[in-house]
Amino acid sequence: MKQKTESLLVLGFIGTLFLNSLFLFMLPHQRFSELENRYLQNDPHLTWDNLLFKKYAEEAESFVTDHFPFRDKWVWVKSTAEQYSLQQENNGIYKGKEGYLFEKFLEPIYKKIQQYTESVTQFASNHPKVSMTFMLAPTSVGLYPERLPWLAPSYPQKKVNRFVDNQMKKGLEFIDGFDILSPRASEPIYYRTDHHWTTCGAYLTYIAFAEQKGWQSLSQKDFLIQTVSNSFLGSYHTRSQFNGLSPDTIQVYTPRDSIPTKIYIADTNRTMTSMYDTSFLAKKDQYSYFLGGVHALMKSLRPNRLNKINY
Amino acid sequence: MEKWWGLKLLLYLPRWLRHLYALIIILIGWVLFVFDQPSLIIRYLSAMMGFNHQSLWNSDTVYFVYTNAVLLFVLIIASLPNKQWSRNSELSLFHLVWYGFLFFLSVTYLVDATFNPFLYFRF
Repeated sequence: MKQKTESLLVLGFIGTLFLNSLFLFMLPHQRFSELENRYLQNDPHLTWDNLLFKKYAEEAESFVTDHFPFRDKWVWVKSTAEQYSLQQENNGIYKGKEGYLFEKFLEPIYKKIQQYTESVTQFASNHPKVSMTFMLAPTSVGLYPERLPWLAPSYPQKKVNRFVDNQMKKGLEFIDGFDILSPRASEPIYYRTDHHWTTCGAYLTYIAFAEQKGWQSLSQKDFLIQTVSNSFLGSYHTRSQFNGLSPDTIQVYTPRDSIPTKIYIADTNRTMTSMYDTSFLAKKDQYSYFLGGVHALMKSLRPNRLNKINY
Repeated sequence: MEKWWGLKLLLYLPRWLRHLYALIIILIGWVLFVFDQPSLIIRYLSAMMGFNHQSLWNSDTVYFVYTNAVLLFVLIIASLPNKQWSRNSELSLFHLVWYGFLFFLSVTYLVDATFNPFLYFRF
């Protein structure tokens, strides 16, 4: 009996290693991972230079890890294991109350923040003819600290906003996102599973910003509000792989008095006929529905309707 | 180092002092193992000794303890010497399943360490 189990152990171990390697080479290799939103390492090139400068070793290692068989399942198991213990976070994302996920925010390096604000004020002073305003909006963890897990370490974003405000006193007009959003915190301003704010949050900010600048803003009645997705699981969900979350809904605010807009995307040399790309709603990264995602340079072109502008 | 003069000294010391000595050496040893730059080692050790003005016990400590409580519990049990659980006895099916489970779990943690999703698509 002892002999049998011993050989079973050895065979099982070697068999597992062999099977995994087999899968690694046999399964088709993806070039792009929708889950991780990045290109996966392609086959490493064995050249003399690559070998000498360690590039081959690095490429080979990332190839094996990137194409590890059933990679997303392994990641999911780890997240489930963490959730079954009393762990409240995974990969830097807290699992908060009421289905909210939060990105961990700890004390930043103020020197760096000072550098960033200096760059921004420098940019503003480089273009004195253009009137600019800087609005710093919090992320969901800054606005809803009461929904964090018990005793979870978190640095108050209000402090950072105040610091930036002080730094910018000399250069630029500063609007504190907290002043705008805190009074309306009970509304769904942020997605529960993503780092962006919802269209509702964007709308509230638009109203407050327009008021500050003295523009006339459209009220909610002037928009046709449609729900385009009920199954949105955003960046926080991707990173943390937490289960049992109810997906977010994505809404579109289309002005009833709509103006046709064309968007020219420089990096793909494409022109979109609307600000929304519905093809993304079928993919994992549904948020790229807005403006087709992130691009290097976008130009929005609108036909001239000066006689209709009220402000 | 221990071989030269420490061993005789250790034999005279009471048991708990020997344990304490071992623990301290292990704690410092792990730091040396992880970092390859002396400046980082010194910074980490000074933080461990309390030179970073952090209190020993605050809400952060409680958070770390309770979120890792299950892991700590398992580690404590696993570190206890127990003749019955050691491999002196026959290798049973239970052992196989347990080893398989541990191996499986280790691989998931390793794969997760390489998990690197990008918030914004890199063009």
